[in-house]
Amino acid sequence: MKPLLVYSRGVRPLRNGNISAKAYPFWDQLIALLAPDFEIVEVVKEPLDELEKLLKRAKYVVACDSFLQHFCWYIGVKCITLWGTSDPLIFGHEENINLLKNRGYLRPNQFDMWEGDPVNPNAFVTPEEVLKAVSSYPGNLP
Amino acid sequence: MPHITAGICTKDRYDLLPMALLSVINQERTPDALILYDDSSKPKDLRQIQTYQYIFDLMTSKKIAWHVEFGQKKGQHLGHQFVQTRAKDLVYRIDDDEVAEPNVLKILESHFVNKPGKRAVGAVGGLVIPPNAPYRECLPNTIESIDRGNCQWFRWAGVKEVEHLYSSYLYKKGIQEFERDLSPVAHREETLHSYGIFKKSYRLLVDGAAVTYHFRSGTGGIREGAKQEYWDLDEKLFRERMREYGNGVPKKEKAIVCDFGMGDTIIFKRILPEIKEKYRDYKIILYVCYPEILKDEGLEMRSIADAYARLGNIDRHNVYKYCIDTKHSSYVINAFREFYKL
Repeated sequence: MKPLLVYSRGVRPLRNGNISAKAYPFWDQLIALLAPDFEIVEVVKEPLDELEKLLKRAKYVVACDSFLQHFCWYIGVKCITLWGTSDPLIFGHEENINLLKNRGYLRPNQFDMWEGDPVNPNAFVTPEEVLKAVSSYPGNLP
Repeated sequence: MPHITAGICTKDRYDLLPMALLSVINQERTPDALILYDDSSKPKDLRQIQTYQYIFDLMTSKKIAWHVEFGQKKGQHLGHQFVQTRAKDLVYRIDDDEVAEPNVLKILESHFVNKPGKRAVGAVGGLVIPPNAPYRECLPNTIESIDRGNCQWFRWAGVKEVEHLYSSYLYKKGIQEFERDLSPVAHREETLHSYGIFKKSYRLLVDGAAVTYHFRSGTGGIREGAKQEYWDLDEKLFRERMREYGNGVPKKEKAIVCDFGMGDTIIFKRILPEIKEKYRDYKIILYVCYPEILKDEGLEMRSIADAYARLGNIDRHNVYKYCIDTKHSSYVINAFREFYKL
């Protein structure tokens, strides 16, 4: 039986309809890489109690800088968090595994609104690097 | 005919102030005197500004005895008390960001008549609303319901007896002084003053036909740049005064505005036990975007729209504004702890 990996592509929709620069741009490639070895469940908008149960059953949780990484932190589940231009040392949690490509990509005004921020795929780690991080971490379950 | 003195206290609103002044000057029942109490951080000599020259000339031509007094930057409550001491019979209190319909003063004054078998009227207010204010069922305006809104904030028709008034009203001089111990934000100033009149067995009325528009301004005014502790101190003073009146006032309320996303709401939830402990003597009211995250906390929750309606400018409750202002650079949870002084 394959271990369960839960992920979420979700980031808060922007008011101007633009794609958020927080959104990880390589989800499809990443999921394709993970699919052979994991039972993969994407969460979208589950009730919180159901979401908590699901996350606590998962061996791995992967998310970008979004609600899910905070929720994992809150319920004591380690989340592999994919960062782009927001700073994990401000918006992250040290209890998570924070994958930041390079601090040079961080936006200068971290508390600005996201509506005007351009999407920059170069700011994110590649799917291969995420896979490597998953492989090097034994997972949340014994 | 009673002598009416209009009193406007202003702070750093030289752009808006002419609107308020002209609305007072152009009342169908012109006031007999007008005192402008200028509590601005850098007071200007208004005689050097042409718009004000015209306004002063207009007042003189309308036989309004006008006077400009410079404040000590300690708050408008001291200004209103100054106006009261200079007034003769009735005092028309109006804020510097308000525009009264021309009939307001005439309507308010009309209630100062003795009616057989009824206590004398001590103060009369009208509606103080944004131009697009909705019609709504009239709220009670009792001290007990002080935290549930105010009948002067919405449109309705009729005349109602109340226990306290807000913002703009006409009152009899000499019944009740303005509270001098308030902070410079003068939170609850009108409530304390008008309720004091009520407690001295005068009637307070609100007439829904007297409409004053409130042009809430993002700049200037007594609340600009003020610290949260000013509100807290004034609220504490207000509750103490109410206890002195022997009122069973509900617990002091602590408003916390969670105008942020789901993730931040989760972070907030983590520190909520510390907030509950700090404000254990308060009734905590959360204004939230995501009530589902906080639904099990046993606290009263209201919408962010409600926060705007009840609290006005909510910038002072905004943790992200705090982060920007302080150039915060560590984990957000630390910012929350600093912001809420935990």
